[in-house]
Amino acid sequence: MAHHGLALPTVLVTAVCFLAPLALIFVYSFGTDNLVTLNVDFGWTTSNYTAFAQSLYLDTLLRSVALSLGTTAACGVLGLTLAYFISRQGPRTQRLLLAAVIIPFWTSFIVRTYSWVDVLQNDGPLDNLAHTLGLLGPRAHLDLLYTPFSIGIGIVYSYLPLMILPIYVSLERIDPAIYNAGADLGATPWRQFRRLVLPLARPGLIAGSIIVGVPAMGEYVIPEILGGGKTLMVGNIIANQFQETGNYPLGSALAVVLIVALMIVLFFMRRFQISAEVT
Amino acid sequence: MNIRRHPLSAALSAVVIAFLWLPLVAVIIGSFDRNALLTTFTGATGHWYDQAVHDPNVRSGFETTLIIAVCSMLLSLVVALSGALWWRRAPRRARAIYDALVYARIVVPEVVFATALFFLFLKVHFALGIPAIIVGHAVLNSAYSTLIIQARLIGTDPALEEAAADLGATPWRVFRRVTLATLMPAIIAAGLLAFTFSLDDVVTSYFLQGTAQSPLPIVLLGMIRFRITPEINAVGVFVMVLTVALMSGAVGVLAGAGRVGRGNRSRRRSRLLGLYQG
Amino acid sequence: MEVRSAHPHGGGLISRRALLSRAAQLGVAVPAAGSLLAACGGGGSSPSSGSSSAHAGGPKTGTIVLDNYPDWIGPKEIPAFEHLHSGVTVKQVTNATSSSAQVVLNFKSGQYDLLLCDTSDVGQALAAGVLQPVDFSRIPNISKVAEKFREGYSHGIPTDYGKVGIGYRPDIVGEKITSWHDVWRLAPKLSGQIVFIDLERDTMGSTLKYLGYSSNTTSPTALDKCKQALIQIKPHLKAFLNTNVGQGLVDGSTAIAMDWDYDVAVNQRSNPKIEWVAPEEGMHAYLEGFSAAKSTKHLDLVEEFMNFMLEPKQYADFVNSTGTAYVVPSAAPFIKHSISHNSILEPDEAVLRKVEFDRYLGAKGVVLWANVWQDVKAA
Repeated sequence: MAHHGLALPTVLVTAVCFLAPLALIFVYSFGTDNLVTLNVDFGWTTSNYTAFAQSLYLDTLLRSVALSLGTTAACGVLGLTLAYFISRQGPRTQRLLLAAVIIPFWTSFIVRTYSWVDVLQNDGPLDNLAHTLGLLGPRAHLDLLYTPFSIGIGIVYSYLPLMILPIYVSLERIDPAIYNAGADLGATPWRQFRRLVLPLARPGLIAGSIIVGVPAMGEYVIPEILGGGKTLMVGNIIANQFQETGNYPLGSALAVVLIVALMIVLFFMRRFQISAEVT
Repeated sequence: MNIRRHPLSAALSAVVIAFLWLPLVAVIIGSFDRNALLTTFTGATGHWYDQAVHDPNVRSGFETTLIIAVCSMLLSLVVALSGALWWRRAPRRARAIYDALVYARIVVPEVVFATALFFLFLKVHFALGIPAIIVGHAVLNSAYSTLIIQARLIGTDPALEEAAADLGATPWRVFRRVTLATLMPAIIAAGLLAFTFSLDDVVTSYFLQGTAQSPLPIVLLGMIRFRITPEINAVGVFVMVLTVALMSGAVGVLAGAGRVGRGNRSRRRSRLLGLYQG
Repeated sequence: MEVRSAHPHGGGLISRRALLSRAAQLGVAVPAAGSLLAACGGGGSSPSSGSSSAHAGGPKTGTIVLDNYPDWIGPKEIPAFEHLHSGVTVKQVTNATSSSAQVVLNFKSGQYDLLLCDTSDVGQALAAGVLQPVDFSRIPNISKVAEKFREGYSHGIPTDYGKVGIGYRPDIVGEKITSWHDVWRLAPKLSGQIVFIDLERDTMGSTLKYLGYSSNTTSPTALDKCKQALIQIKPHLKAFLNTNVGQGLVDGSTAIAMDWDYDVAVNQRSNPKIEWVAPEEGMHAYLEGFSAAKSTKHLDLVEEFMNFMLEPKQYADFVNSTGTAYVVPSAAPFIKHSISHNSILEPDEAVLRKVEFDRYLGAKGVVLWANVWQDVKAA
C-alpha cells in the first residue's frame, strides 16, 4: 500500500488544483453576470452557450484552428529537418547544436516575443533587407506585423523546441551503422530518409504535434503582442471576457467549449499515437 | 555524417538555427544601443546594464521569479517522480486516467486554467500571491516533468532493481542507488524544464499574483509601454546569461550521470555490482 | 459575490495613461525612475509648501493604498506627503488597466482606499455601491480646479483629461484631413497605414462622432451602425493599439492615427511633420481623477492626500512628469512651457464645444457597448 501512497502528491495536485477549478468554471458557465455590479448569479441558464454560437466568435475559432494547424505543420517540417540533422552528428556536435537550439529560449519570453515586433515591423531589419535586395519599391512595405502571419511566426518560434526535442529523442536512438549499411546497399540519402528516418521519427512527430498544436490553439500572450488587437485567437476572446468585460459566465462558457473541443482532438490524436507506437 | 553529402539538410538546418537566433541577436544588439528609441544603432554603451542592475523593480522581480521557479520546480519534481513511480506498477485503468490527466494539463489553455484557479482560490479564501503562483506553476509544469521521467522509466529495465533486491539491498537502498541513479538524467532534465517554464511564465503569474511583488516577466511587461527599451533588452540578456550558467552546470551533471544509464548491459551490470560494494 | 480582481501589473494590455507618461518622459526630460512602487518611508525629497492642507486634529497614522497607473503621479508627491505626515504611508499599487469592469472590481476588492478612475468608472462604481463620495469641505484645494471639470467629476478629485483626435502625416497622405469622414474616405487608399486605439470607449466613441451621434449613446440603432462602420474600416487598419499608438507617425509607417492629444504632442516633437487634427464632427474625451472606495477605513487620510495632490506645486509635479492636459489653472506657473503653451493640449473654445466627455452608460448601455466591441474585435 506504500505503493499507492506514491500517488498521493499527484492526486492532491491534480484533483484539488486542476480538476476542481475546471469544475468551478463549468458551474460558472451556467451563471449570469450583472455587468455593472459584476456580481455573478448562479442561475443555471444556457444563455451563455447560445450567445457564443450565434456571434462572430466562430470566425475566431476557425482562425485559431487554422493557425494551430499551420504552425504545427511548420514546426513539424522545421523540427524534423533540424532534429534529423542533429541526430546525424557526432556526440559533441550534437550537444553544441542542442545548446544552440535551447539558448535563445533562456532569454525571457516577453523580451523575445516583443523583439519580433521590432524585427517584423515596417522599416525594421526584414523590411530594409527587402528594400536593399530590390524586392520592394521605395514606398512599399512588407506589412508583416500584426497579421496572422506574425502571430504564426511567434508561435512557431516559441514552440519549435517542443517539437525538436521529441523527434530528436526518437531519432537519436538510431545506430549510425544503419545509415552506413543502407548507403552500402545503394540507398540514396533521400530514400533512407523516407524509408528509415520518417517512420522512426513518427512517434516524436506525433508527440510533438500534440504538445505544439493543442496548446497553440489556446495561445493568448503571443496574439496579444503580435496580433495588433486586430487578429484575435480564441484565448484572447476568453481573456477579454474575463478581464475587459468582467463577464465571467460568458468567458467560462467559451472556455468550456474550447476545452471540450481540445479534448476531442487530443483523444483522437492519442489513439493515433498509441496505434503508431504499436506498429 | 558528412555535410558535403547532405547539403540540403545542412542548409535548411542552418536557416532554422538562424531563425532561432535572429531575435536573440536583435535583443543583444539592442541592449547596447546608445539610442534609447532603438530606431537606429548609434553606438554601444553598457549604460543600460547598469540601469537594469540598479533598477529596484527589476531586482525584486528577478528575486521573486527565482524563488517561484525554484520552489515550483521542486514541487513539480516531487509530483512527477512520485507519480511516475506509482504509474510503473499501477493497474491499467488507473494508468489511463493518470495519462489523461497529464495530457489534460498540457492541453488546457493556460489562460483558462489560470482563471479557473484564480476563482477557486478566491472561493476557498486561499491568499493570492507567491505561494499561489508556485502552486499554479507546479500544477502545469509537473505534467511536462512527468512526461520526461515517464519516458525514461519506459526505457529502463526493471530487472536491475529486481537484481539489486535479490542481492539483499533494502528498498530504500534500491531506490537510491538504482532507481534514482538511472532516473537522474531524466530528473535533471525534468527539473530544468520546469524551472525554465516557471521562469518565463506570464499568464498564470499574472492572474495569481494578487498585490504581491510581480515576477520578472510581468515587471518587464509593465516596462514596455512604448516599445522595447535597451534596458529591457539588457534584462533579457542578463536572464539568459544567468540561465546558461545555471544550465551548463546542471547539464554537466546530466552528462556525467547520463553515462550510468547508457551503454551496453554488461557495463551497466558491473556498475551496479560496483554500487553494491560501495 | 465578492470577486477580487485580477491585477495585471502592466502589460501590452496597457492604458493610454502609461503610454502618456512614457511619452512624456521621452519628450520631457524627467528622471527615468522606472515604475514607482513606493513602499514605506519617503525618499527624503523636498517637502511641500503645505499651504492649504490646514486640517485640525492630532497627528494621524495609517497606511492608505492607492490604485494607480504606472508612473501616473509626480515622482516627489508621495515622499513629500509622507514627509509631511509622519506616521502615514501611501502604498501605491500600479495596475495598467482601462476597462471599467476592472476598475470596479478593484473598488469592490476592499484592497484599495483610493483609485484612479474616469467618469464612467465612477458612474458604474456608484451604481454598484462600492464608491465612497468624499467630503469636499475637507478638500479645500478643490476650489482650484476649473469649474467645468469639477462638475464632470463629482465624487472625487479630477486630475487630468485627454481628447481623442487624429494625428497624421500630410506628406504621406497627400491631402489635408479635417474630419473623421476624411479618415473613413481615405482608408482604402491608405490601407494598412491606419491605426486605431484599442479601447472600447475611445474608438467606438470616435466612430459615433463620425456617424453624428453622441459618444455616450446607448441607442441600439446607433451602436449597430457604429459596429458596421468599424467592421467596414477594420480590414484597412494596421492595428488596434494601446501602446505605441502614434509612434508609427514618427517614422512614417503609420499615415493616420486615432490618437490622444498628448501623444500627438510628444510625437510632434520627434517629427514636426506630424499634424494634429481636431475633427469637425467633434471628439470624445475622458476626464479622470481619484475616488475613494467604500471599503476604506481611512477616509480622512484619503481626503488629506487628495487635497495635497491638488496643491499647485504638487499638481505641477504630476503634470510635468506625465505631459497631460491639466485641470488646475493656478498650477500653470509651475508647469513646463511645452505643456502649458501647447495648442494641441489647450484648444480654443470652438473646439472644446464639440468635445464630449465620457459618461457612465448605465446598466443596459454597458452590456450593449461590450457586445459591440467584442464583435468588432473578433470580426
